[in-house]
Amino acid sequence: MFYVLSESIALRSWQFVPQAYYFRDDPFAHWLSDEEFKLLLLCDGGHDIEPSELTESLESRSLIRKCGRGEKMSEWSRHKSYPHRYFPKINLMITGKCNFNCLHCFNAADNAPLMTEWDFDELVGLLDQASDCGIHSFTITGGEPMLHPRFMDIVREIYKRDMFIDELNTNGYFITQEILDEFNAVGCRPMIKISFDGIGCHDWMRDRKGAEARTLDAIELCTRNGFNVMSQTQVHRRNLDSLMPTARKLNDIGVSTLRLIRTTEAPRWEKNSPGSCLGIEEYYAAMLDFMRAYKDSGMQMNVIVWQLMNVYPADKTYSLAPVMFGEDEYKPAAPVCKGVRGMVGVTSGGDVVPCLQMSGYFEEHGIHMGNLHSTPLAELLRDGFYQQTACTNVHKRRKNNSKCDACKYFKYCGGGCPALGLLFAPEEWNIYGSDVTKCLFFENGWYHKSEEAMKGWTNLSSINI
Amino acid sequence: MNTNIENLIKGLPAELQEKAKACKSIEEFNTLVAENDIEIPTDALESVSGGCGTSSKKNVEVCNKCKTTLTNVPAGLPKPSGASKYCPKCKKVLISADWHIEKR
Repeated sequence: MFYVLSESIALRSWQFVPQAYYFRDDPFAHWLSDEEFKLLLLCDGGHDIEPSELTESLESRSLIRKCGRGEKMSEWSRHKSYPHRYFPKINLMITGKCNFNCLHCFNAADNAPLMTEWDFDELVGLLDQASDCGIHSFTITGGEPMLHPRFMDIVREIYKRDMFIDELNTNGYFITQEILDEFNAVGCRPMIKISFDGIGCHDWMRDRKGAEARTLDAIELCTRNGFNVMSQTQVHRRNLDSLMPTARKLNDIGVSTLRLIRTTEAPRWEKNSPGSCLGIEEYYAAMLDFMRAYKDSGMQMNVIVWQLMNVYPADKTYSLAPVMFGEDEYKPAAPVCKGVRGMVGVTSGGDVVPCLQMSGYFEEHGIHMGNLHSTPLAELLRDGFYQQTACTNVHKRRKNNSKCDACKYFKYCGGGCPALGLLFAPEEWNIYGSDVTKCLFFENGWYHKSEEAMKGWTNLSSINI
Repeated sequence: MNTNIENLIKGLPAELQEKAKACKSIEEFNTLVAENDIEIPTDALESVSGGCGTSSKKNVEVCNKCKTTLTNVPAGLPKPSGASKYCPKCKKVLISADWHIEKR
Protein backbone atom coordinates (compact mmCIF):
# COMPACT_ATOMS: atom_id res chain seq x y z
CA MET A 1 0.00 0.00 0.00
CA PHE A 2 1.21 3.54 -0.75
CA TYR A 3 0.64 6.52 1.49
CA VAL A 4 1.39 10.25 1.40
CA LEU A 5 1.29 12.84 4.14
CA SER A 6 -2.07 14.55 4.36
CA GLU A 7 -2.28 18.01 2.73
CA SER A 8 -3.02 19.34 6.22
CA ILE A 9 0.30 18.45 7.82
CA ALA A 10 3.97 19.33 7.46
CA LEU A 11 6.81 17.29 9.00
CA ARG A 12 9.34 19.42 10.87
CA SER A 13 12.48 19.12 13.01
CA TRP A 14 14.24 21.73 15.14
CA GLN A 15 17.15 21.73 17.57
CA PHE A 16 15.86 19.78 20.61
CA VAL A 17 12.57 18.99 18.80
CA PRO A 18 13.55 16.42 16.19
CA GLN A 19 10.11 14.88 15.57
CA ALA A 20 7.14 17.14 15.09
CA TYR A 21 4.47 18.25 12.66
CA TYR A 22 2.44 21.34 11.94
CA PHE A 23 -1.25 21.11 11.23
CA ARG A 24 -2.51 23.71 8.77
CA ASP A 25 -4.14 26.69 10.57
CA ASP A 26 -2.95 25.45 13.98
CA PRO A 27 -0.14 27.78 15.07
CA PHE A 28 1.81 25.30 17.17
CA ALA A 29 3.63 22.09 16.26
CA HIS A 30 2.82 18.71 17.77
CA TRP A 31 5.09 15.94 18.99
CA LEU A 32 5.51 12.58 17.24
CA SER A 33 6.87 9.37 18.71
CA ASP A 34 9.94 7.72 17.14
CA GLU A 35 7.73 5.09 15.59
CA GLU A 36 5.27 7.61 14.11
CA PHE A 37 7.99 9.90 12.78
CA LYS A 38 9.91 7.08 11.07
CA LEU A 39 6.76 5.85 9.37
CA LEU A 40 5.69 9.35 8.29
CA LEU A 41 9.09 9.87 6.63
CA LEU A 42 8.26 6.90 4.42
CA CYS A 43 4.82 8.19 3.47
CA ASP A 44 5.99 9.87 0.28
CA GLY A 45 4.03 7.91 -2.32
CA GLY A 46 7.15 5.95 -3.22
CA HIS A 47 7.49 3.40 -0.42
CA ASP A 48 5.31 0.30 -0.32
CA ILE A 49 4.09 0.13 3.29
CA GLU A 50 2.35 -2.77 4.99
CA PRO A 51 -0.92 -1.55 6.57
CA SER A 52 -0.75 -1.85 10.35
CA GLU A 53 -2.32 -0.53 13.53
CA LEU A 54 0.05 2.42 13.25
CA THR A 55 -0.97 3.31 9.68
CA GLU A 56 -4.62 3.02 10.79
CA SER A 57 -3.96 5.30 13.73
CA LEU A 58 -2.19 7.90 11.55
CA GLU A 59 -4.98 7.74 8.98
CA SER A 60 -7.66 8.18 11.62
CA ARG A 61 -5.82 11.29 12.86
CA SER A 62 -5.73 12.66 9.27
CA LEU A 63 -1.93 12.63 9.19
CA ILE A 64 -1.68 10.35 6.13
CA ARG A 65 -3.88 9.09 3.35
CA LYS A 66 -3.71 6.18 0.94
CA CYS A 67 -2.54 7.10 -2.56
CA GLY A 68 -1.50 5.69 -5.87
CA ARG A 69 2.14 4.72 -6.43
CA GLY A 70 4.32 7.73 -7.22
CA GLU A 71 1.82 10.35 -6.08
CA LYS A 72 3.61 13.51 -4.96
CA MET A 73 2.93 15.44 -1.79
CA SER A 74 3.13 19.21 -1.50
CA GLU A 75 6.46 20.92 -0.90
CA TRP A 76 5.06 22.34 2.34
CA SER A 77 4.26 18.88 3.72
CA ARG A 78 7.73 17.49 3.00
CA HIS A 79 10.06 17.04 5.99
CA LYS A 80 12.22 20.09 6.77
CA SER A 81 14.87 20.49 9.42
CA TYR A 82 16.09 23.72 11.06
CA PRO A 83 19.35 24.18 12.98
CA HIS A 84 17.88 26.56 15.58
CA ARG A 85 15.28 26.11 18.30
CA TYR A 86 11.57 25.88 17.67
CA PHE A 87 10.08 29.34 16.96
CA PRO A 88 6.59 28.89 15.48
CA LYS A 89 5.29 32.42 15.27
CA ILE A 90 6.18 36.06 14.54
CA ASN A 91 4.45 39.05 16.05
CA LEU A 92 4.98 41.39 13.12
CA MET A 93 4.50 45.13 13.39
CA ILE A 94 4.22 45.95 9.69
CA THR A 95 3.91 49.68 10.35
CA GLY A 96 4.39 51.99 13.28
CA LYS A 97 2.05 54.55 11.73
CA CYS A 98 -1.44 54.93 13.10
CA ASN A 99 -4.52 56.98 12.29
CA PHE A 100 -5.23 57.34 16.02
CA ASN A 101 -3.14 58.95 18.72
CA CYS A 102 -3.87 56.73 21.71
CA LEU A 103 -2.89 58.13 25.06
CA HIS A 104 -1.58 54.80 26.34
CA CYS A 105 0.26 53.53 23.25
CA PHE A 106 3.12 51.28 24.36
CA ASN A 107 4.93 51.43 21.04
CA ALA A 108 6.12 54.98 21.36
CA ALA A 109 8.98 55.84 23.65
CA ASP A 110 7.48 59.31 24.08
CA ASN A 111 4.72 61.34 22.50
CA ALA A 112 6.38 61.38 19.10
CA PRO A 113 4.38 58.97 16.94
CA LEU A 114 6.26 56.07 15.36
CA MET A 115 6.79 56.68 11.66
CA THR A 116 8.78 53.60 10.69
CA GLU A 117 7.20 51.08 8.36
CA TRP A 118 8.24 47.90 6.53
CA ASP A 119 8.86 48.52 2.84
CA PHE A 120 6.82 45.95 0.88
CA ASP A 121 9.76 44.39 -0.98
CA GLU A 122 11.83 44.13 2.19
CA LEU A 123 8.88 42.60 3.98
CA VAL A 124 8.48 39.97 1.25
CA GLY A 125 12.15 39.14 1.84
CA LEU A 126 11.42 38.73 5.54
CA LEU A 127 8.50 36.41 4.75
CA ASP A 128 10.86 34.23 2.68
CA GLN A 129 13.28 34.13 5.61
CA ALA A 130 10.47 33.31 8.03
CA SER A 131 9.34 30.43 5.85
CA ASP A 132 12.94 29.16 5.64
CA CYS A 133 13.14 29.27 9.46
CA GLY A 134 10.04 27.14 10.02
CA ILE A 135 7.76 29.98 11.08
CA HIS A 136 4.16 28.87 10.65
CA SER A 137 1.96 31.84 11.54
CA PHE A 138 1.82 35.54 12.28
CA THR A 139 0.16 38.01 14.51
CA ILE A 140 -0.07 41.12 12.33
CA THR A 141 0.04 44.31 14.30
CA GLY A 142 1.01 47.99 14.23
CA GLY A 143 0.62 50.96 14.67
CA GLU A 144 -2.52 50.32 12.72
CA PRO A 145 -1.56 47.47 10.38
CA MET A 146 -4.41 48.09 7.95
CA LEU A 147 -2.96 51.55 7.32
CA HIS A 148 -0.01 49.95 5.50
CA PRO A 149 -0.45 50.87 1.81
CA ARG A 150 0.18 47.23 0.75
CA PHE A 151 -1.76 45.58 3.59
CA MET A 152 -3.77 43.13 1.45
CA ASP A 153 -0.71 42.31 -0.68
CA ILE A 154 1.14 41.39 2.52
CA VAL A 155 -1.74 39.12 3.55
CA ARG A 156 -1.62 37.39 0.16
CA GLU A 157 2.18 36.97 0.29
CA ILE A 158 1.91 35.24 3.67
CA TYR A 159 -0.66 32.76 2.35
CA LYS A 160 1.32 32.19 -0.87
CA ARG A 161 4.08 30.79 1.34
CA ASP A 162 1.74 28.37 3.16
CA MET A 163 1.94 30.41 6.35
CA PHE A 164 -1.12 32.02 7.87
CA ILE A 165 -2.33 34.94 9.96
CA ASP A 166 -3.45 33.66 13.33
CA GLU A 167 -4.32 37.04 14.78
CA LEU A 168 -4.82 40.56 13.52
CA ASN A 169 -4.52 43.45 15.99
CA THR A 170 -6.39 46.48 14.73
CA ASN A 171 -8.38 49.48 15.87
CA GLY A 172 -11.06 48.42 13.36
CA TYR A 173 -11.18 51.76 11.54
CA PHE A 174 -10.40 50.32 8.10
CA ILE A 175 -12.48 47.16 8.32
CA THR A 176 -15.06 47.05 5.54
CA GLN A 177 -17.18 44.35 3.92
CA GLU A 178 -14.81 44.43 0.93
CA ILE A 179 -11.78 43.72 3.14
CA LEU A 180 -13.55 40.82 4.85
CA ASP A 181 -14.54 39.43 1.44
CA GLU A 182 -10.90 39.65 0.36
CA PHE A 183 -9.85 37.84 3.55
CA ASN A 184 -12.28 35.06 2.75
CA ALA A 185 -11.03 34.83 -0.84
CA VAL A 186 -7.45 34.31 0.43
CA GLY A 187 -8.57 31.86 3.14
CA CYS A 188 -7.50 34.33 5.82
CA ARG A 189 -9.61 33.76 8.96
CA PRO A 190 -7.65 35.25 11.85
CA MET A 191 -8.91 36.07 15.27
CA ILE A 192 -9.49 39.81 14.92
CA LYS A 193 -8.41 41.60 18.07
CA ILE A 194 -10.00 45.01 18.16
CA SER A 195 -9.12 47.58 20.77
CA PHE A 196 -12.18 49.01 22.47
CA ASP A 197 -11.72 50.96 25.65
CA GLY A 198 -15.23 51.32 26.93
CA ILE A 199 -18.49 53.06 26.27
CA GLY A 200 -18.05 56.77 26.88
CA CYS A 201 -14.28 56.42 27.17
CA HIS A 202 -13.07 55.15 23.82
CA ASP A 203 -12.98 58.49 22.01
CA TRP A 204 -10.91 60.05 24.79
CA MET A 205 -8.40 57.15 24.87
CA ARG A 206 -8.09 57.21 21.05
CA ASP A 207 -7.95 61.00 20.91
CA ARG A 208 -10.55 60.87 18.11
CA LYS A 209 -14.23 61.85 18.13
CA GLY A 210 -16.48 59.21 16.59
CA ALA A 211 -13.97 56.38 17.11
CA GLU A 212 -16.31 54.58 19.52
CA ALA A 213 -19.23 54.29 17.09
CA ARG A 214 -16.96 53.32 14.22
CA THR A 215 -15.21 50.63 16.26
CA LEU A 216 -18.47 49.08 17.44
CA ASP A 217 -19.69 49.02 13.82
CA ALA A 218 -16.46 47.27 12.77
CA ILE A 219 -16.81 44.66 15.50
CA GLU A 220 -20.39 43.94 14.51
CA LEU A 221 -19.43 43.67 10.83
CA CYS A 222 -16.73 41.11 11.69
CA THR A 223 -18.98 38.98 13.87
CA ARG A 224 -21.80 39.10 11.27
CA ASN A 225 -19.27 37.72 8.78
CA GLY A 226 -18.38 34.89 11.13
CA PHE A 227 -14.98 36.18 12.24
CA ASN A 228 -13.83 35.46 15.76
CA VAL A 229 -13.45 38.82 17.56
CA MET A 230 -11.64 39.59 20.76
CA SER A 231 -12.10 43.01 22.31
CA GLN A 232 -8.97 44.32 24.00
CA THR A 233 -10.13 46.72 26.64
CA GLN A 234 -7.92 48.87 28.84
CA VAL A 235 -8.77 49.15 32.53
CA HIS A 236 -7.86 52.21 34.60
CA ARG A 237 -9.43 54.64 37.05
CA ARG A 238 -11.32 56.52 34.37
CA ASN A 239 -13.27 53.65 32.81
CA LEU A 240 -14.02 51.24 35.68
CA ASP A 241 -17.68 52.31 35.87
CA SER A 242 -18.23 51.60 32.20
CA LEU A 243 -16.90 48.01 32.23
CA MET A 244 -20.18 46.18 32.81
CA PRO A 245 -22.23 48.10 30.21
CA THR A 246 -19.28 47.74 27.83
CA ALA A 247 -19.20 43.98 28.40
CA ARG A 248 -22.96 43.76 27.81
CA LYS A 249 -22.70 45.67 24.54
CA LEU A 250 -19.76 43.58 23.29
CA ASN A 251 -21.47 40.34 24.30
CA ASP A 252 -24.62 41.37 22.48
CA ILE A 253 -22.81 42.09 19.21
CA GLY A 254 -21.12 38.69 19.20
CA VAL A 255 -17.63 39.26 20.61
CA SER A 256 -16.21 35.87 21.64
CA THR A 257 -13.62 37.08 24.13
CA LEU A 258 -13.26 40.17 26.25
CA ARG A 259 -9.70 40.82 27.30
CA LEU A 260 -9.36 43.28 30.14
CA ILE A 261 -5.90 44.79 30.43
CA ARG A 262 -4.65 46.93 33.27
CA THR A 263 -3.22 50.01 31.61
CA THR A 264 0.44 49.65 32.46
CA GLU A 265 2.85 52.36 33.44
CA ALA A 266 4.17 52.64 29.87
CA PRO A 267 6.17 55.84 29.30
CA ARG A 268 3.54 57.49 27.13
CA TRP A 269 0.55 56.78 29.39
CA GLU A 270 2.41 58.09 32.42
CA LYS A 271 3.04 61.32 30.54
CA ASN A 272 -0.47 61.66 29.10
CA SER A 273 -2.64 60.62 32.01
CA PRO A 274 -0.64 60.69 35.22
CA GLY A 275 -2.30 58.99 38.18
CA SER A 276 -4.77 57.00 36.09
CA CYS A 277 -3.12 53.60 36.55
CA LEU A 278 -4.74 51.35 39.10
CA GLY A 279 -2.37 49.99 41.72
CA ILE A 280 -1.88 46.25 41.35
CA GLU A 281 -4.09 45.26 44.27
CA GLU A 282 -6.66 47.92 43.38
CA TYR A 283 -6.76 46.29 39.95
CA TYR A 284 -7.18 42.80 41.42
CA ALA A 285 -10.01 44.00 43.67
CA ALA A 286 -11.76 45.83 40.84
CA MET A 287 -11.46 42.82 38.53
CA LEU A 288 -12.84 40.42 41.13
CA ASP A 289 -15.77 42.79 41.70
CA PHE A 290 -16.34 42.77 37.96
CA MET A 291 -16.09 38.97 37.73
CA ARG A 292 -18.54 38.45 40.62
CA ALA A 293 -21.12 40.41 38.65
CA TYR A 294 -20.13 38.96 35.29
CA LYS A 295 -20.43 35.31 36.25
CA ASP A 296 -24.07 35.81 37.24
CA SER A 297 -24.90 38.00 34.24
CA GLY A 298 -25.66 35.23 31.75
CA MET A 299 -23.11 36.67 29.30
CA GLN A 300 -21.23 34.03 27.32
CA MET A 301 -18.03 35.82 26.25
CA ASN A 302 -14.85 34.26 27.54
CA VAL A 303 -13.00 36.81 29.65
CA ILE A 304 -9.24 37.13 29.93
CA VAL A 305 -8.34 39.31 32.88
CA TRP A 306 -4.74 40.31 32.24
CA GLN A 307 -2.33 38.59 34.63
CA LEU A 308 -5.21 37.41 36.84
CA MET A 309 -7.58 34.86 35.32
CA ASN A 310 -9.14 33.34 32.21
CA VAL A 311 -12.86 32.67 32.49
CA TYR A 312 -14.93 30.28 30.35
CA PRO A 313 -18.69 30.69 30.95
CA ALA A 314 -19.67 27.84 28.59
CA ASP A 315 -18.62 25.24 31.14
CA LYS A 316 -18.29 27.51 34.20
CA THR A 317 -14.54 27.06 34.51
CA TYR A 318 -11.62 29.42 35.04
CA SER A 319 -7.88 29.31 35.45
CA LEU A 320 -5.69 31.67 37.45
CA ALA A 321 -2.94 33.28 35.39
CA PRO A 322 -0.33 33.53 38.18
CA VAL A 323 -0.39 29.73 38.55
CA MET A 324 2.11 28.79 35.86
CA PHE A 325 2.70 25.30 37.28
CA GLY A 326 0.15 23.05 38.97
CA GLU A 327 0.97 20.97 42.03
CA ASP A 328 4.17 18.94 41.39
CA GLU A 329 4.38 20.26 37.82
CA TYR A 330 7.28 22.72 38.25
CA LYS A 331 9.75 22.45 35.35
CA PRO A 332 13.09 24.23 35.74
CA ALA A 333 13.70 24.28 31.97
CA ALA A 334 10.37 25.99 31.25
CA PRO A 335 10.80 29.40 29.58
CA VAL A 336 10.23 32.46 31.74
CA CYS A 337 7.42 33.47 29.36
CA LYS A 338 5.57 31.12 27.02
CA GLY A 339 4.56 34.03 24.80
CA VAL A 340 8.11 35.31 24.42
CA ARG A 341 9.37 31.80 23.76
CA GLY A 342 6.74 31.10 21.13
CA MET A 343 6.58 34.37 19.26
CA VAL A 344 9.39 36.46 17.79
CA GLY A 345 8.56 40.15 18.11
CA VAL A 346 9.52 42.28 15.09
CA THR A 347 9.12 46.06 15.23
CA SER A 348 8.27 48.34 12.32
CA GLY A 349 11.92 49.44 12.35
CA GLY A 350 13.11 45.84 11.95
CA ASP A 351 14.30 45.29 15.52
CA VAL A 352 13.79 41.80 16.94
CA VAL A 353 12.37 42.01 20.46
CA PRO A 354 11.20 39.36 22.91
CA CYS A 355 8.00 41.24 23.77
CA LEU A 356 6.41 43.77 21.43
CA GLN A 357 4.45 45.33 24.29
CA MET A 358 7.80 46.39 25.72
CA SER A 359 9.15 47.91 22.50
CA GLY A 360 8.69 51.46 23.84
CA TYR A 361 10.71 50.50 26.93
CA PHE A 362 13.48 48.93 24.84
CA GLU A 363 13.66 52.00 22.64
CA GLU A 364 13.72 54.40 25.58
CA HIS A 365 16.51 52.41 27.26
CA GLY A 366 18.54 51.92 24.09
CA ILE A 367 18.26 48.12 24.26
CA HIS A 368 18.71 46.49 20.84
CA MET A 369 18.89 42.74 20.27
CA GLY A 370 19.41 42.72 16.54
CA ASN A 371 17.85 44.23 13.45
CA LEU A 372 16.51 42.32 10.47
CA HIS A 373 17.62 45.01 8.03
CA SER A 374 21.21 44.11 8.80
CA THR A 375 21.13 40.54 10.22
CA PRO A 376 19.31 37.50 8.80
CA LEU A 377 16.50 36.06 10.92
CA ALA A 378 18.16 32.61 10.97
CA GLU A 379 21.26 34.11 12.58
CA LEU A 380 19.27 35.92 15.28
CA LEU A 381 17.33 32.75 16.09
CA ARG A 382 20.45 30.59 16.27
CA ASP A 383 22.33 32.46 18.99
CA GLY A 384 23.04 35.86 20.53
CA PHE A 385 21.28 38.42 22.74
CA TYR A 386 17.77 37.85 21.39
CA GLN A 387 17.89 34.06 21.38
CA GLN A 388 19.37 33.91 24.86
CA THR A 389 16.76 36.33 26.24
CA ALA A 390 13.81 34.57 24.60
CA CYS A 391 14.96 31.12 25.68
CA THR A 392 16.05 31.81 29.25
CA ASN A 393 14.35 29.56 31.76
CA VAL A 394 12.76 29.71 35.21
CA HIS A 395 15.69 27.90 36.82
CA LYS A 396 18.02 30.73 35.77
CA ARG A 397 15.53 33.25 37.04
CA ARG A 398 15.46 31.53 40.41
CA LYS A 399 19.26 31.44 40.60
CA ASN A 400 19.54 35.12 39.67
CA ASN A 401 16.85 36.40 42.03
CA SER A 402 17.39 35.72 45.72
CA LYS A 403 13.78 36.62 46.60
CA CYS A 404 12.42 34.13 44.06
CA ASP A 405 14.95 31.50 45.17
CA ALA A 406 13.70 31.69 48.75
CA CYS A 407 10.00 32.01 47.92
CA LYS A 408 7.66 29.12 48.67
CA TYR A 409 5.39 30.19 45.82
CA PHE A 410 8.06 30.12 43.09
CA LYS A 411 7.17 26.52 42.21
CA TYR A 412 3.73 27.83 41.21
CA CYS A 413 4.46 31.18 39.51
CA GLY A 414 7.93 30.56 38.05
CA GLY A 415 8.71 34.20 38.80
CA GLY A 416 5.77 35.61 36.84
CA CYS A 417 5.88 37.95 33.84
CA PRO A 418 9.48 38.93 32.98
CA ALA A 419 8.32 42.14 31.29
CA LEU A 420 6.71 43.27 34.54
CA GLY A 421 9.83 42.19 36.42
CA LEU A 422 11.83 44.39 34.09
CA LEU A 423 9.41 47.29 34.37
CA PHE A 424 9.55 47.28 38.17
CA ALA A 425 13.28 46.47 38.46
CA PRO A 426 15.45 49.27 39.80
CA GLU A 427 18.32 48.26 37.50
CA GLU A 428 18.47 49.30 33.86
CA TRP A 429 18.46 45.74 32.53
CA ASN A 430 17.46 42.79 34.66
CA ILE A 431 15.26 40.19 33.03
CA TYR A 432 15.26 38.21 36.26
CA GLY A 433 13.63 40.99 38.31
CA SER A 434 10.65 40.18 40.54
CA ASP A 435 7.20 40.50 39.02
CA VAL A 436 5.61 42.20 42.01
CA THR A 437 2.11 41.51 40.66
CA LYS A 438 2.65 37.79 41.32
CA CYS A 439 4.33 38.40 44.69
CA LEU A 440 1.27 40.37 45.80
CA PHE A 441 -1.11 37.76 44.36
CA PHE A 442 0.36 34.92 46.40
CA GLU A 443 1.57 36.76 49.50
CA ASN A 444 -1.60 38.77 50.06
CA GLY A 445 -4.18 36.03 49.60
CA TRP A 446 -5.46 36.90 46.12
CA TYR A 447 -5.47 33.21 45.20
CA HIS A 448 -8.18 32.50 47.77
CA LYS A 449 -9.96 35.81 47.11
CA SER A 450 -10.16 34.83 43.43
CA GLU A 451 -11.59 31.41 44.32
CA GLU A 452 -14.12 33.07 46.58
CA ALA A 453 -15.17 35.49 43.83
CA MET A 454 -15.61 32.59 41.39
CA LYS A 455 -17.37 30.34 43.91
CA GLY A 456 -19.50 27.70 42.22
CA TRP A 457 -17.28 27.61 39.13
CA THR A 458 -14.43 25.11 38.65
CA ASN A 459 -10.85 26.26 39.11
CA LEU A 460 -8.80 24.46 36.44
CA SER A 461 -5.55 25.56 38.08
CA SER A 462 -6.19 24.67 41.69
CA ILE A 463 -3.14 24.22 43.91
CA ASN A 464 -2.74 23.35 47.55
CA ILE A 465 -1.89 26.64 49.23
CA MET B 1 13.39 7.46 31.94
CA ASN B 2 11.13 7.58 28.92
CA THR B 3 12.17 7.24 25.26
CA ASN B 4 12.13 10.99 24.68
CA ILE B 5 14.63 11.57 27.43
CA GLU B 6 16.82 8.65 26.38
CA ASN B 7 16.91 10.08 22.84
CA LEU B 8 17.69 13.51 24.20
CA ILE B 9 20.60 12.15 26.22
CA LYS B 10 21.98 10.42 23.12
CA GLY B 11 22.16 13.78 21.37
CA LEU B 12 24.07 15.54 24.16
CA PRO B 13 27.84 16.14 24.24
CA ALA B 14 29.69 13.22 25.87
CA GLU B 15 30.41 15.08 29.11
CA LEU B 16 26.74 15.97 29.59
CA GLN B 17 25.65 12.45 28.69
CA GLU B 18 27.69 11.15 31.62
CA LYS B 19 26.17 13.72 33.97
CA ALA B 20 22.65 12.98 32.70
CA LYS B 21 23.08 9.24 33.21
CA ALA B 22 24.29 9.89 36.75
CA CYS B 23 21.10 11.81 37.69
CA LYS B 24 19.27 10.01 40.48
CA SER B 25 15.84 11.52 39.91
CA ILE B 26 13.81 13.23 37.22
CA GLU B 27 14.05 16.48 39.21
CA GLU B 28 17.84 16.28 39.16
CA PHE B 29 17.78 15.58 35.42
CA ASN B 30 15.41 18.50 34.78
CA THR B 31 17.71 20.85 36.67
CA LEU B 32 20.71 19.64 34.67
CA VAL B 33 18.75 20.31 31.47
CA ALA B 34 17.83 23.82 32.61
CA GLU B 35 21.37 24.70 33.73
CA ASN B 36 22.78 23.68 30.38
CA ASP B 37 20.24 25.50 28.19
CA ILE B 38 18.75 22.32 26.80
CA GLU B 39 15.08 21.76 26.09
CA ILE B 40 13.17 18.50 26.47
CA PRO B 41 11.31 17.99 23.16
CA THR B 42 7.77 17.59 24.47
CA ASP B 43 8.24 20.40 26.98
CA ALA B 44 9.65 22.68 24.26
CA LEU B 45 6.48 22.20 22.23
CA GLU B 46 4.14 22.69 25.18
CA SER B 47 5.99 25.67 26.63
CA VAL B 48 5.03 28.18 23.97
CA SER B 49 2.04 30.36 23.35
CA GLY B 50 1.14 33.19 21.06
CA GLY B 51 1.57 35.84 23.72
CA CYS B 52 -0.51 36.81 26.71
CA GLY B 53 -4.23 36.85 26.02
CA THR B 54 -3.71 35.31 22.66
CA SER B 55 -6.68 33.05 22.24
CA SER B 56 -10.15 32.55 23.52
CA LYS B 57 -9.66 28.84 23.12
CA LYS B 58 -8.13 26.65 25.75
CA ASN B 59 -6.70 23.18 25.80
CA VAL B 60 -8.64 21.21 28.36
CA GLU B 61 -8.17 17.70 29.65
CA VAL B 62 -11.42 15.76 29.32
CA CYS B 63 -12.34 12.46 30.98
CA ASN B 64 -12.50 9.68 28.37
CA LYS B 65 -15.41 8.09 30.19
CA CYS B 66 -17.81 10.91 31.01
CA LYS B 67 -16.34 13.84 28.94
CA THR B 68 -16.18 16.07 32.02
CA THR B 69 -13.46 18.75 32.20
CA LEU B 70 -10.78 17.61 34.63
CA THR B 71 -9.30 19.59 37.48
CA ASN B 72 -6.05 19.33 39.41
CA VAL B 73 -6.08 16.63 42.07
CA PRO B 74 -7.65 18.07 45.24
CA ALA B 75 -5.56 18.19 48.40
CA GLY B 76 -5.63 15.01 50.47
CA LEU B 77 -6.17 12.57 47.61
CA PRO B 78 -3.27 10.25 46.76
CA LYS B 79 -1.46 11.16 43.52
CA PRO B 80 0.03 8.44 41.33
CA SER B 81 3.46 9.02 39.76
CA GLY B 82 3.45 10.95 36.50
CA ALA B 83 0.77 13.34 35.34
CA SER B 84 -2.55 13.07 37.12
CA LYS B 85 -5.88 14.90 37.07
CA TYR B 86 -9.18 14.59 38.88
CA CYS B 87 -12.60 13.91 37.37
CA PRO B 88 -15.21 15.67 39.53
CA LYS B 89 -18.04 13.62 38.02
CA CYS B 90 -16.46 10.14 38.30
CA LYS B 91 -14.85 11.30 41.56
CA LYS B 92 -11.61 9.58 40.53
CA VAL B 93 -7.95 10.50 40.19
CA LEU B 94 -6.99 9.78 36.57
CA ILE B 95 -3.69 9.16 34.81
CA SER B 96 -2.98 10.52 31.34
CA ALA B 97 -4.30 7.41 29.54
CA ASP B 98 -7.72 8.16 31.07
CA TRP B 99 -8.16 11.56 29.45
CA HIS B 100 -7.76 13.38 26.15
CA ILE B 101 -7.19 17.01 25.21
CA GLU B 102 -9.89 19.11 23.61
CA LYS B 103 -9.58 22.65 22.31
CA ARG B 104 -12.48 24.82 23.39
